Amino acid sequence: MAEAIKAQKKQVGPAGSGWVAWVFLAPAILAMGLTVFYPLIKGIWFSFTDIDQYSMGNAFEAPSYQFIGLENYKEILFSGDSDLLRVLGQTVLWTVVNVSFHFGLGLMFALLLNHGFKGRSLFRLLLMVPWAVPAYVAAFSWRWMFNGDYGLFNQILQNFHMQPINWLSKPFWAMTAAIATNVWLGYPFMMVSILAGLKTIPGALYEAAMLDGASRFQQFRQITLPMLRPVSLSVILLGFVWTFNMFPVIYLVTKGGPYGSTEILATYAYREAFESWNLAEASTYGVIILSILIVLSSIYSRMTKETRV
Amino acid sequence: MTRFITLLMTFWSQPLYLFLLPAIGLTGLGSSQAEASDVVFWHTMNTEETKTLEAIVKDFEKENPGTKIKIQNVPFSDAQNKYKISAQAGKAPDVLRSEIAWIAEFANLGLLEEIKLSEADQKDFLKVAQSYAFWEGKNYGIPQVTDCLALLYNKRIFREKKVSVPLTMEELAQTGKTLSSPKEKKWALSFNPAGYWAQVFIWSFGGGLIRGEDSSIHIADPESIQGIQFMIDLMQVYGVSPKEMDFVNGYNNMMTGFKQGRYAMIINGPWSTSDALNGDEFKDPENLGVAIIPRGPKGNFSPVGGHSYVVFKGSTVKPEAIKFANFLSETKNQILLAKNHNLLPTRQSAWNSSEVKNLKLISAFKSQLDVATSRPVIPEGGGIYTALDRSVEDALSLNKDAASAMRKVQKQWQKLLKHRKNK
Repeated sequence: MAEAIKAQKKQVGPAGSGWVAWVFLAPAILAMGLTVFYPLIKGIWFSFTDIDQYSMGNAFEAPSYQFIGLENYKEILFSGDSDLLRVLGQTVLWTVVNVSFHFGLGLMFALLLNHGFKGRSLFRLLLMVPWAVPAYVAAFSWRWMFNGDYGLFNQILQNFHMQPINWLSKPFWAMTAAIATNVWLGYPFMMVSILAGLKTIPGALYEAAMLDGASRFQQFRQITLPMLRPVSLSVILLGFVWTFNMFPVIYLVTKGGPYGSTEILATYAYREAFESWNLAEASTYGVIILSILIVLSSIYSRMTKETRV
Repeated sequence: MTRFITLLMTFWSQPLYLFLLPAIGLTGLGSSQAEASDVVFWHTMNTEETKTLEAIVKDFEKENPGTKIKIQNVPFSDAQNKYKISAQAGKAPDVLRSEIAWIAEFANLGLLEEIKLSEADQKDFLKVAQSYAFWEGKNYGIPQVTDCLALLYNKRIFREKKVSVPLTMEELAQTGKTLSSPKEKKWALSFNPAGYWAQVFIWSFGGGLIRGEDSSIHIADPESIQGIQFMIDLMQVYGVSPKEMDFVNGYNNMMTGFKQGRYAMIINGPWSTSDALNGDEFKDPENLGVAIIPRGPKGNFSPVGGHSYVVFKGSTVKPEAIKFANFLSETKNQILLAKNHNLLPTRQSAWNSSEVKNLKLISAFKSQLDVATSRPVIPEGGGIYTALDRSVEDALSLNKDAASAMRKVQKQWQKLLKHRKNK
């Protein structure tokens, strides 16, 4: 028996046919290396230098930036007037609220669609519309609807004799506007994934529960939620990472304003890099964003592994 | 494996600009598709203006049968970064229509070819327009068009309320009483709540942005703060402008409101006149008035803007490119653009022509231009507005008082200037 296993291992293991595997892997490794790892490592390297648009070098001048150790990190993490904490707080608020709404709405609509009712396919089609609209098109239309003087929402408010709100010029309302836009854009993905998860739950479980006299709510708590767990955990993680770096919605709806109160780390780093040309500082922000995401997702995956039944 | 590592090392030692190249996409590499003798030309004009431009280019090709021009339109908002990235990589177009505030930056990065002007040209070009093209004693641009902010007003409203156009900032503050009626959503004045517009008030009260050989920062001087405070007071105290503004849609709302008769006056440049004339209020073009911005305690001020042609240092067709750039800015072509699109010429000879003198709107802007002020001619000239815009929002929404908002700008500008001074 042991010998048989050994023989099998030899057959499928990479040791004997190693070079073939490498040949097949080479294009992917090369592409990943050029498009992912090379820029990544270079970006990390820049965060330890003083690179800016003058020292980055060009076709006529050699690069002249220098290694300065941890200066950039000191400046961002420990100096008094750094925006990091404020922007990080905004980013976390933005991400948590968005993902909660994405998941909540997605789950609600998925449960609704999982039941047969008249006009279901039309309803499903309508719910999918936001997914078909490119983010920047949606962002522009929402920005128009939130216009303080001529927007749709303020006209509705005024029709009901309510005070119009200057949506995009007040920090709280500007964040609300950006989140509303992104919730509208993001829930269909959750809905579709959860709906697919619902379809995989065997009907026998519900039948057995019904025979045992479980109520609808008990069935939901004891069968639906636990069975949806694997799907939910992965879509929430995906949603978290995507929303954390959701650049276009913020950039187009509020432009990060008023006075930077809706800026998230991704838009902030972009502004540093390509409006102020603080390339070193922007790279440092990039590394910090990456570290936060790595730490959070590893905590998350450990947490979910431990509690897995 | 070692070979792979060597390959990696070769890539590693490449300068950053090669790594940035993919970012500019397909349109960025115009010069590689062109023939060796072609002059590649990037411009940022709108659709209407492009028609006139194409006609001018055809004239040039007729006069110079050996040279072909490849015109490419680049959106104005992308042009600065796109040009910078492709030029750093050595692949920029031969001629660019550049916003005047970008020239010093491009020149300081060593991307532009010096252009020597003839003595006649030096005399002919308006000083306010030409001054932007100089960096460290050398000239890098040929001015195409100039502009400045002025006071646009709705003559009908002034006639009905029997008031005259304000000549001083004090008079402007009083117009709230006669021209504003918040209940009907009508106000005396609207301006774009952004840094570029704030300059008008900062300068009028004796303040400044960045001045002098040593690029000293004056944005937090008491006079500058007074200017910002006056903007706040126009909204909060005098009732001249609405108490709250939509910062994201500020410019568009200003134009829409002006066209609908919501605002009696706005502050804007010549580029906006054709848009204003499309509005209901200005079906009769005679109803649109242009006046000088009210005089502040320290005088009349308005920021000068515009566009110039620049030639790339790495161009392989420099003589043709310079010849073409000069041709585009010849007097007859400036007159053509003025007549067709209300663009302000940069040559005195164009202004002196009877054709331009007969253009009413343009002439009204000329009296403003005569008292207009140059923005700081420094490499950071385009970049300073990022911080200023944000702090103007801070102050106008009463989130911060004017003084601490401007001190924040000062701090950020110090950081911005440090890069160049370290060079």
